[in-house]
Amino acid sequence: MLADSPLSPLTDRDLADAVVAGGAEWAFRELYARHTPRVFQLIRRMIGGERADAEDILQDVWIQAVRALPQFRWEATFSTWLTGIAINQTRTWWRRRGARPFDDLDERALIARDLPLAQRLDLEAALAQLPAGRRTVLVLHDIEGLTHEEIADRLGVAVGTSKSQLFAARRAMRAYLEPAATRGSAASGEPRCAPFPKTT
Amino acid sequence: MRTIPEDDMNDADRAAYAGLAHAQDPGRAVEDRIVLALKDRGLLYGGRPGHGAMWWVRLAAACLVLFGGGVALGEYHGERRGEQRLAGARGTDVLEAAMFVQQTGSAYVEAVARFSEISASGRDTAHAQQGREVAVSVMEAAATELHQVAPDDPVTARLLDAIAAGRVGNPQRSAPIVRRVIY
Repeated sequence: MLADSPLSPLTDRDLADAVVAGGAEWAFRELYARHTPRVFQLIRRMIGGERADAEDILQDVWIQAVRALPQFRWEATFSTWLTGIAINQTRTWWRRRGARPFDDLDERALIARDLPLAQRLDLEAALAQLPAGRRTVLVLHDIEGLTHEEIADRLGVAVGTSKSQLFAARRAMRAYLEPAATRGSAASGEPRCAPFPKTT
Repeated sequence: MRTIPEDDMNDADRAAYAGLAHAQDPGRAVEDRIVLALKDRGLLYGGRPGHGAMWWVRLAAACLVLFGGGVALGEYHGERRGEQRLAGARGTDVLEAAMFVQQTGSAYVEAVARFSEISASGRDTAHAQQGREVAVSVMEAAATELHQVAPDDPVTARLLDAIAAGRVGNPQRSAPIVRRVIY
């Protein structure tokens, strides 16, 4: 986690104070450089890899963060706080698109179609193919290290929903990534089930 | 009831996810775009070439003109909207503003309770529907404002999600409320 950079004597709080007190661009750029790469990667994964959308969300995240900095009490780390904003902004993005990622109960989504080998080996591509709700929970739990309770709180879902989405996401990911030969359908080259629905 | 396994992550999963990058730099162009967006909103200053002393003098003069205009406009509206409301809206310190939120919030809750009591009789369903929509719109506008203050707050986000979900299938109510001042 990129919290207070060892390369700079200034802490996140020093930089944030400079932004709040005088709108210091240099301090903002330093904060931005420390935290953006991780937050941007998280946003991209949650929305399924669309770069332009992730950039728009990232901009909204920083605008919200700088606006709210005077109210930030530093009870959590800056990184945790910013992650919370990023998750909320991603939810706003879903909302604007009318997406309801945690209402997807389509069991067909659990079964993978045959993907080209190169794509099957690409974990990021496989992640991007997951339905949004499952992808988000998997990213937050297995990659970002949040607990089910934290995920439930952040996403406004039940703990059980977080667990079931993760269970389904892992199953889908394994189905994607397992060698086609072991599934017995590689020879035909035909999908063995309905196309994997990509939702946002 | 179906039981969900607590953790079915295996070593292969762990190895695969551990190899994923945790960071990705969006590039300098995105950084500059965001800095510019923050400057346009008055949240950042400095670093823009060509802003000499004269530029700041002009900016100060423009601010004075805007401020004067704002005061005049505020007084004009104040006369029309009543002394009490204006006094609340003028609150400059946090405590005063918080008290104003409490007072108007209590008034809102009281009004909704009264509306609920009357509409429960089921006599005027058309106006009852309208009243419900107004109550939800005001709540949404308040949640949107709160989201500005605490953008990481999951409760506010959940409320906005729930309101948005309630609109599904009702296109007449689908216009998003971005920012609205309610008098």
